[in-house]
Amino acid sequence: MTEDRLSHGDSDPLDAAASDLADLRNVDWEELRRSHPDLGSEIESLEALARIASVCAAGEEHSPGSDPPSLLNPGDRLGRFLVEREAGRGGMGIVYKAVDERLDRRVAIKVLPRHARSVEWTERFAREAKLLASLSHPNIATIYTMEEGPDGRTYLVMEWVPGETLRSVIARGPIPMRRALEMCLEIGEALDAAHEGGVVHRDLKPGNVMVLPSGRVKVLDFGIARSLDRGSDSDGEGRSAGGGISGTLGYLAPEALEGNDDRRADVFSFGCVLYECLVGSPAFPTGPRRGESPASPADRLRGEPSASTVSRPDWSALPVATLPSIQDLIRGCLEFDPRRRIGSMRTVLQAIESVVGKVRRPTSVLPANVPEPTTSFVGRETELTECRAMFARSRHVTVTGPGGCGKTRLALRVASDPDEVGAGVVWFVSLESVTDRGRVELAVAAALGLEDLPPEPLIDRLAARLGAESGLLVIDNCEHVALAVRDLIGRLDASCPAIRFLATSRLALGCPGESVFRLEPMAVPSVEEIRDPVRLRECESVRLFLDRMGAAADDLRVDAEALGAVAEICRRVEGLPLAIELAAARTVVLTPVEVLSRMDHQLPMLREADRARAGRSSALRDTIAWSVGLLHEDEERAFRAFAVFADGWDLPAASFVLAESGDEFETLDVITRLAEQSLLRVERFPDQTTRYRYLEPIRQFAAEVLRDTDLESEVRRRHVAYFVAVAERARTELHGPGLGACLDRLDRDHENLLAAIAHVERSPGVEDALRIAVGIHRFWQIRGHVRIGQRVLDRLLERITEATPDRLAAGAFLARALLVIHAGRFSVLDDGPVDPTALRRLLETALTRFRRLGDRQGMASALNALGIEHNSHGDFGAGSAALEEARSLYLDLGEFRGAAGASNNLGLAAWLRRDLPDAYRLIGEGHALMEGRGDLRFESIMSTNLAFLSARLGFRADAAKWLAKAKGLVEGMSDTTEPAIGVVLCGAEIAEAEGRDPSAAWLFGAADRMLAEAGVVLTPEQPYWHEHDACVARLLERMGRSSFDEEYEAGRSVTTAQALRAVAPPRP
Amino acid sequence: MNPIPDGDSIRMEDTGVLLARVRSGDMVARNELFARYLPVLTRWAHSRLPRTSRDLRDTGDLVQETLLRALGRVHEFQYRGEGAFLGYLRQILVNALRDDARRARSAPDPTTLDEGLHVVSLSPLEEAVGRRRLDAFDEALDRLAPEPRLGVVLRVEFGLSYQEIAEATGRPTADAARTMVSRALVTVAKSMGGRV
Repeated sequence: MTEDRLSHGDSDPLDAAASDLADLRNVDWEELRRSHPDLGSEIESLEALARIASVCAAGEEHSPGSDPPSLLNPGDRLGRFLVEREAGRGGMGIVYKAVDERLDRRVAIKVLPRHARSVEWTERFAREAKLLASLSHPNIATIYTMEEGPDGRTYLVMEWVPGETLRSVIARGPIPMRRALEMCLEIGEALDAAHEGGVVHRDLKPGNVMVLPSGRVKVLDFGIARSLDRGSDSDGEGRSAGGGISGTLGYLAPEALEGNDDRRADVFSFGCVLYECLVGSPAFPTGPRRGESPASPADRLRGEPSASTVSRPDWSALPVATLPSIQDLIRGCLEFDPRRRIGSMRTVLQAIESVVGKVRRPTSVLPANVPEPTTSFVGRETELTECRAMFARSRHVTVTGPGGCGKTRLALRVASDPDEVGAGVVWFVSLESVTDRGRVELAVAAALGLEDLPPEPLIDRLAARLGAESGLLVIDNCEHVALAVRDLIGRLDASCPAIRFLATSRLALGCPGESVFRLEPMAVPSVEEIRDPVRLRECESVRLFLDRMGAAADDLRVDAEALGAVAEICRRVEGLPLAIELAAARTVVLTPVEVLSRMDHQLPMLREADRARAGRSSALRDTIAWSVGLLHEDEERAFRAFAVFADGWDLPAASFVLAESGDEFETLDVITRLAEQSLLRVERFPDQTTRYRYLEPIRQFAAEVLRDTDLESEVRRRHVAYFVAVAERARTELHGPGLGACLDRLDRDHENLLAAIAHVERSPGVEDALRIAVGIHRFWQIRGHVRIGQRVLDRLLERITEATPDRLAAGAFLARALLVIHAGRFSVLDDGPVDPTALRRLLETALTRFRRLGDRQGMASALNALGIEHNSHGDFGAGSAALEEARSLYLDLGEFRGAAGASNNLGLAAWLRRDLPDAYRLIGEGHALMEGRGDLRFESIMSTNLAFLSARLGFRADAAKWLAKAKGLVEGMSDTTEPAIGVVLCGAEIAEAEGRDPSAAWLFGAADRMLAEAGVVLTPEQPYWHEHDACVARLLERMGRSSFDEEYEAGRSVTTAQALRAVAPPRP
Repeated sequence: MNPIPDGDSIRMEDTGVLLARVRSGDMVARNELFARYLPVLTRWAHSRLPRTSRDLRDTGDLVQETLLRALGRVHEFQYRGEGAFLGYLRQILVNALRDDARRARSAPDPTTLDEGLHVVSLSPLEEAVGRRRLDAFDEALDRLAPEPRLGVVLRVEFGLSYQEIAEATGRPTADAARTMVSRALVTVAKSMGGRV
């Protein structure tokens, strides 16, 4: 075929046009349309194809003119930030220059674009913020905050870095050797610090480095940096799900193309940057060469080899003056094989330093007397920012907190960048070894290089020296000479208006104008973080531990088990940095799992192994002993006494333990003093109660000094007596309107109650322990501590003797039986099915003892439980007899709740016998007895039962009434698990009966999720649940598997509150 | 096949040779392939991406990431000429663009601050032929058999020669490729005509 024939001789006009089009020849579309009006739409389509070909051939390039409009305009406000102008844009968002009006400083705001607000992008953005915040370094642009605006938009507020990019600098030509090395040294410092913090930059290039007017260099845009560890969010190919493969070709290490990058990938990029600084053009150029005109795509592929195909950098382009060691360094950085590449930035830095000498390092702003920490600063980003910010309001900031929480480290960190707090110079005074108040002035004078030259008062010389300076005076370790420091600062304050004071102390100094920054221990991993290794490694305390064991980035040494142990250690020492560091130091000779197994003995475990190096802050014991040594005698006695508490205490407990008829106000004074000394922590709860507790290492110290003293036996006796009283009060409260509050209190004191039981068990008689167990068995049942309760009771029942009071023994048998019934019902134990014979024996033993005592209350309880037990095995005759007796006993006693319960249980028996009208009558009677008596839980369960029954009996109006009532009651309760499940199941059953199939399937999904979460297994003994499977089967048949599954799964994903809201009453 | 040169060569190599080297783990070859295809695909993507989406994620980023992923999976690809490889990359990129568009659509509602961005923005191709017609083109392409589809794409979107298209689609001669492409264009036009 010839072109002529194709274009002109073809009989089909479409074929002819298509051929011309395929040959990229012009076609006269107008003419074609005129001569073939019947082919209008096909011709139009061909013309469209021609236009597509033409646009593609033209290869329209993205021009700056086609930028989308800005998200923010000058004068716009984001919270307290006023936008000045757009400063740039990149893949991760648009950057604006803005002013923080509160702190009056310039900031850069990076805003996530609207289209990008998918979960993936937001997470990526959040990761950037977190990583940036974790890097506090003079060569890294600091992040101040990440916030969500009122519009729901996320924005990141960063340090505004003036200057120009290194890319612009290089565009003017190669950088002179020494200057290039100095700049790269600073870039290297930034990367090294980032790597120390577990962060890889992953996109280092000249465009991401700012050169400030001062010449200092800052690395920007950790936009794709992420934690060195990879875990659950990788896609199986080693790439982070949010991060994807990123980086810039030409600076990207070869292995990064496979997502296998670690800190060595940054070494590669660093080599590219260093090469480019020296040569003036990239080591691996990519893309169109400068000045190249746009070619068609095909031309591009067919074209002459571009410089981009160069396999190795052009080494001959390096300046002639490049030293062999620097050439070797660049080659070592640019090794394609990461195993052969230089392994760390530290090595790179040493190589450069050996050439240019130690160029002004970031820490060199510290004067000679400021100790340079030997380990890196980990975490505490928020604290650092907040502490610095305090200087905007006050010239005197005191960092307080318990010993070992890192006050000195924080202060040194603040001092490392005095510009940030408006100071030019720093002096550091440690008062650690100053024991005499009178020597405080001398110590400060020595730090300033002043001598005491009588008769001139030293304070005048100090004032004269400081008066002219704008500096920061750091006074470390003030607690033991607090008054002297306060006086000194007070006297210097007036005469030295430009001086700022930063003190560290376990207690506030009390100077006028003092701002107290309370430094808490580090955040410990939450339960959610423990489940997620990636988040776990980001947790501050875990980061510190991993850093100190030298394994911050080493996945091999810290496998999942070890990481879990690290997390638990951090929790056990409650995030106390000193304890974490000392525990991590033990990993030289022990695994984290082994360290964890010794955490019951924290004081001998957590000390510096090398006694020669050990100072006051090198052993946990010493740092605590130092604080305790500053206490008065009564305070010290209380400090020891409070060690008796297992997990915190409140004021009444503290008073009782100190002296049975103790004066609460005296106790309060002592507690206040201990809190001021940072020896105990104050915790406030939403119900307006306050509790106090020791950090675990401090508790262990207190326990150690309490052990084997007269004081110990005295306070242990009082501790038991106090918690016996608590349990006996609870026994009543757990059956009344005060249930919720009582449960909350018992939650907080559970460890104390168990400790009291354990203490009693060590003595010959166990009556007090029985009193506690019998008192709180219902708490164990409701709060799911069934296994604990069973173990305690099993141990105690074995020790019941003739001498044990009958009432107490009977109560214990009953309590044990009730726990068994509960366990069987909720399948909370995996010990296999409940043994009905054993259960009945327990109940009958209890009943016999109660009958012998004539204890009608106890008899009624035992009979009620026995009735339930008989019914559950289908023995309705025996069951009803027991329940009838129980009900009449309760009525005699005026125990409406008990009588109502027995009625309800009789009704359930009728229900199991399929006698629905009788069931409805009996449960209705029970409800009438209980209504308005304040037991919301019980009332809601009975209302739900009545809703089920009336719906099944066809009493729609009644069903609507009971369901509405049950819903209303459930919504007003704190512990809603069981009643809420009943309401949702009832709603599902009603929807199914009315043919509202999608709703029914959805509600069954919701109910089943709730059942699974509560660990409740449906059994035939729960009469109102026996319809569950039948309903679901009918729904499946009517809806088909896929429609049913869709609704059911949707229902499974909702919250309990959402499920309750969706429950609709039956149609009238 | 050309001999595999040593690492310091600056000779242009056949894509097939480069792919073979990539499969054997040669990082340098990977970089070379990358440098060769990135500009071509970036230009293609520019014609397909609306302008407003370019601030979110630079077109280059998207193409780069796609190319990286594709190069990570070259063992799955059987090499049949430059064109076939280009068609393979284009398909991966089309999928990535669709994912991106889906994500953008599923982003939460805009807020008042975003009002400036409510302008509907079109890609250069959409501007040239309209969004519906471009969709119709894509759908018509999807309905073509794989080889004619590749032929149309390589000719219309990338301007490859008939000889290259013949290699990519297993046609014996350039003429045969030309016939295939022009027939496929008619089929596409008819299919689009019935839908737009």
